[in-house]
Parts: sequence; structure tokens; C-alpha cells
Amino acid sequence: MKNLKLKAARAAKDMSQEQLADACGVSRQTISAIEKGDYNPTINLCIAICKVLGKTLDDLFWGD
Amino acid sequence: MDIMMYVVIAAALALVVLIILATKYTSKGKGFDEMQLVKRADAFRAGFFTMLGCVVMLLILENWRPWTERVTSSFSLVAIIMITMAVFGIHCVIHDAFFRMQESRKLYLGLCAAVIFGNAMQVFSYYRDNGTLLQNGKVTLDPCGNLVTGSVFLILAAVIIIKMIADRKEEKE
Repeated sequence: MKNLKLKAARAAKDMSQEQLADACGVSRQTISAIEKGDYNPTINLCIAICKVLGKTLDDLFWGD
Repeated sequence: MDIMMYVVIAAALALVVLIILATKYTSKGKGFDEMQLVKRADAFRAGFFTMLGCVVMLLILENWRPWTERVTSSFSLVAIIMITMAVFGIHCVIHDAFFRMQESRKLYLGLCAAVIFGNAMQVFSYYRDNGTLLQNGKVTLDPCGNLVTGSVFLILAAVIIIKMIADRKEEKE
């Protein structure tokens, strides 16, 4: 399932996938795969993404 | 095959080794990320079962006279290795798990070009000297092994280039 909340949060911070990937220490393709719903990140990566985007896990990865 | 060809092949191999070492020691220390490791594991599995299937097929074919009369075992083994490598490599490229983070694709394509060139020269040289790619009517390691090796690297390079173009389009979106 696509992660539109992540994409929206990234866009709100005016960050490209590349920038977010660099900030989280992963490849751009991993961020792309997470947004498309093709890959489920580990909890550590989820936390790293939340820290960079200033959001909580519920905001980006859980809940409706 | 004259001595010059051996010199060219040795030089090409030395260049390949230097490029690999240069890539390893000049990279920014980033390896594969978590997604890439998962995809690489899938690719290793695909390669392993491909190899297993090819070996089983070879064991059956080795008992079939029309095969043993036309193809040597050494060529068959090299072909299996190259097919396995191709499956692994293509799987990794398609799933963005072939290159480390920030690893240079162009450098690797240069490496592929060197390998393709070296093998193509070998095949061309043999054909020029003998008028055929067979040895005594058989498919042998020299030069058919070079043909297979060069072909695999050519296919891999093509897949990498197509993926690079697709990635650039995706980045623009």
C-alpha cells in the first residue's frame, strides 16, 4: 500500500527523495520504494525518517 | 593465438582489478542499505537455484551423446557460472541492489566495456585465425567461453543503462 503520508510530509518540508535518503542514510530508491508501498522499512529506518521530517511514527506509518 | 593477445588480455584483467580496488577504496564508505540487502538476498537465492537447475540439466545432458559430441564440459561449466552471474546481476540491477550507495555507475560500465572488449577481441582473433568458432567441431572454452562471458557483460551493461534512464525519469517526476 502506498505511503502517501510520507510523501506529503516530505513535500511539506520541500525535500526531494534524494535529500531525505541522504539524511536517513539510505538510497533514494529505498525512499521511493517505501512511498510506493513496495518495501516495508525496519523500525530503525522508520524512526530515522520521522526524526528528519519532524513527525511521529503514528503520523507517517500507522493509523488512518 | 599470438603472444600479443595474451598481453592484451593480461592488461585488460589488470585494469579490471585496478578499477575494482579503486572503487572499493575511494567509495565514501557507504555499503548497501537495508532494502538493498534484502533484495540482494533474493538475488542470491535466484542465482543459486538457477545454478542448481543448470547443473541438474548438465548432468542429464552429459549422458546424451549428441551433447557430449558437440559441447565440452569445461565450456558447459563456464556457461553455467556466467548464466548464474547474469541472473544475480540482472535481479540486483532491476531491484536497485547492484550498486552501493553513491557508487559510480559509469565506472562500472567502463569496467563492463573493458571486459566486453577483451572477450570480443579474443573471439575475433580466434575466428580470424581459424574461420570458425568451433574446435574440431566442438563448442569449447576457447573461444566460446569468451563469447558467453562477453555476452553476459553486454546484457548486464544494457540492463544497467536502461535502469539508469528509467531512474532519471523517475527522479524528474
